[in-house]
Amino acid sequence: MITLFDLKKGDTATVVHIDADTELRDRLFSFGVRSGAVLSVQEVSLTRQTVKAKVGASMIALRGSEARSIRVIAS
Amino acid sequence: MRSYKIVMVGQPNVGKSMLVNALSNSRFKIGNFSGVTVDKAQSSTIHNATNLCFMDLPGTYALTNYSQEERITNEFINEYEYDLILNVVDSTNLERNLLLTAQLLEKNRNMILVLNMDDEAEKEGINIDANLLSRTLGVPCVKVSSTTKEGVTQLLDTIIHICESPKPTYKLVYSNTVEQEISKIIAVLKNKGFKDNLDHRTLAIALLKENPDVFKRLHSHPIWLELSQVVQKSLEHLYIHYNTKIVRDIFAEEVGAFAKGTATGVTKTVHGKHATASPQSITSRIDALLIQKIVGLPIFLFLMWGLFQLTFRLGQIPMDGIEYVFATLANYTKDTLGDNQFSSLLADGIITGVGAVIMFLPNILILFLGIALLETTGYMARVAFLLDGFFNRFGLHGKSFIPLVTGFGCSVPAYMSARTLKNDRDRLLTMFIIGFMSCGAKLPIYVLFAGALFGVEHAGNALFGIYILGVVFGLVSAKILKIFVFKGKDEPFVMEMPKYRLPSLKLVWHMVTLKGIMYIKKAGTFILLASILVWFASNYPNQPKLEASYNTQIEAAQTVEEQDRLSQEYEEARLSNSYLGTLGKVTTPLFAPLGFDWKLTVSIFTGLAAKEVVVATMGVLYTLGSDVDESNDKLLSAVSENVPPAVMVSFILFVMIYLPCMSAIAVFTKEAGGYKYVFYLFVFTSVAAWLVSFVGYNLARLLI
Ligand SMILES: Nc1nc2c(ncn2[C@@H]2O[C@H](COP(=O)(O)OP(=O)(O)OP(=O)(O)O)[C@@H](O)[C@H]2O)c(=O)[nH]1
Ligand SMILES: [Mg+2]
Repeated sequence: MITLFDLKKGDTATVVHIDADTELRDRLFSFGVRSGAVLSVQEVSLTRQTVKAKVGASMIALRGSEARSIRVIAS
Repeated sequence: MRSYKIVMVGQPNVGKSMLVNALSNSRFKIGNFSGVTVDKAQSSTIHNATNLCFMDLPGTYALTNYSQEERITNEFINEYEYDLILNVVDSTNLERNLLLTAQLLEKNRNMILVLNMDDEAEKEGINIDANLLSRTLGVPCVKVSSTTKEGVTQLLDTIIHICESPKPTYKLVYSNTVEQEISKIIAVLKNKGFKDNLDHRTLAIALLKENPDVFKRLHSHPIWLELSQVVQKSLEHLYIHYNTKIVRDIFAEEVGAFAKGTATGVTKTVHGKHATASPQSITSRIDALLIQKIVGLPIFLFLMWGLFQLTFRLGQIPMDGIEYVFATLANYTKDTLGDNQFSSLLADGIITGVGAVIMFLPNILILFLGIALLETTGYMARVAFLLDGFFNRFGLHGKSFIPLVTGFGCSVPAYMSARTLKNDRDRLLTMFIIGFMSCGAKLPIYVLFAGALFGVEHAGNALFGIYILGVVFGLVSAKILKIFVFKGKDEPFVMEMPKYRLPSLKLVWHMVTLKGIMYIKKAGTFILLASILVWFASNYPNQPKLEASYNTQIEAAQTVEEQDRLSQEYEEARLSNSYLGTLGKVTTPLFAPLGFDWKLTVSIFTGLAAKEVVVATMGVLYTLGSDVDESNDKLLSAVSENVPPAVMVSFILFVMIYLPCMSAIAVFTKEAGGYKYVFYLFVFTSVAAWLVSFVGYNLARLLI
């Protein structure tokens, strides 16, 4: 199973599951990141530490460690 | 007169503050990033003979209590008295905004949904059917644009109308599955004729959500026996249907589906000619360059370098003029009033002290223009993105970036904006290093010394270097503090990146002039007072013996040069025996290893009141000490003549790191929550400043 972290710039994927504690899940949820949401990766920083993704109409930045907790299937 | 109280609730960066400004002519701070407003603020207006009082609150993504500013909002909604919730949403991002709306509906208060940024929605080809949305939610919806002020009057009318109508009951309609279980529970409550201050539907939902308070309350009631079985069964149905036993997830999914369903139902999107010129796609194209993984960072550094070049070079132009005006004024005062104590107080104390501060106004304005652009264009979040990986390595949270950048302007708002960090450890760590981000008031000192050390040619580069060095020290300190004091694992970081927005000229102009006016005001009040104090402390006590002995020597002198030399020596001696001189000399041993003479030492002390006072003090001390020769009036040349280069380096380093000013310390105490932290800050910054200056001084002596 791949995660958001494994995607490359320009890739689009659908969220299947979020592996995180309640708090981070709540946060991601309020940004629109939940099972079934479609994400596309817009930029990845040089060291892959930070990822910029588009979810719905919002653009969010998250760290690699958070990106790893978002399991996706590429679409 | 009738009076209503209205609270602004919405997700961050949807334009709540701007809307309050449009509704009531207030001047709340606006910026294009999440977390601009960090405290509640109030502003009122009169419309149709009704007093409307608006309460602007920090934005919140959900009604959870994760960070301090979210707590402020949540607490306000639950505990304060008000007549209406104005739920502001971003029309271009309706679905996500409705997630919060869903939570607000459950509060069951009078509410209006404001579809803000209608102008932007139009550009993106998004058309929301406000009437349909009103009918779906049972809440009045009004389209407005805070920028163009379209719909604002209509909104004011609606506000009064709703405040005067009886409160309706809103309900959030769940999916059929959940609604079925809700009705089953309601049926039991109804059959048993159960009475409570909450209505049956609210109770039923609370039971399904496993709300501990409601469980506890109903537990001791006879109805519980039957009720608990029904609730248990209902929950089991839900578990099977949603394939999870976590009720929180089930309801999250419900809310998500509600938001999606509602948003899609009322929104029509027209693609076509808009598609490529819409703010959204423009943003993507700009980002493709500005946060590109290879060129992003160099572009940022270049922009910062450019800003400091401008700050120095452009600021330099009016500087000579301003200095000339104050010097003329001082000379004129002395000429008209004669050479006496009073004219000296006016000319050498007040005019010189205030002049030394006003002189740097142009530099300050340029720096604040830079900060205003960073805050209002949306670039701020991009820089946070670019630097996050780097900052993370030094133990800083990605969100620390915003308070740190704010710190380049002034530490006071910076300490406050550290509230957006939800974890106290991260927040304190950030607050401890905010001081390393040299505030605007330190700029005059740097401009002065960079000019004296490097000459006009390289001063801009030096200024850039000084700021970068401050950041480097800040990062290193963060790392040290993280290892030894604020230990702990990294907090998750998720941040919204706003669309790029071109700020209106009016907004930027207002932001910059506000800073300029504040600076001038401070010069005219606080700095003026400080200059008077410095003047008194450096002119008294009277030293009749010294004066008499020098007078006889001067009279006996053979040549004019000899006389000049003696009178200058006298001034110097008088100054160094004054109160200030004595204070300086007592403490100088502490600073001697850094190369400071007593004048610099005193300036460091007066700088504790406000950093602007440093140059004011130097202005007074160095002009008093020098003879009245025209060319010596110039602060720059006075400093160049009296302070050796290595000492300048050490002074810059000390100023960069040592304790912030009084008002910043006061805010720090309040925000950190205890005097013990002030003590730590004092020890930490003093030791660090001393050590760094010591090293810098000795290195500079070797090299220069
Ligand atoms: N085009 C457009 N931009 C708007 C409108 N309203 C606000 N903005 C912009 O949106 C950004 C955010 O505005 P603020 O008023 O600071 O938002 P806020 O909701 O108070 O944000 P927080 O205090 O961080 O929660 C600013 O860049 C505004 O210029 C609008 O109606 N149209
Ligand atoms: Mg605001």
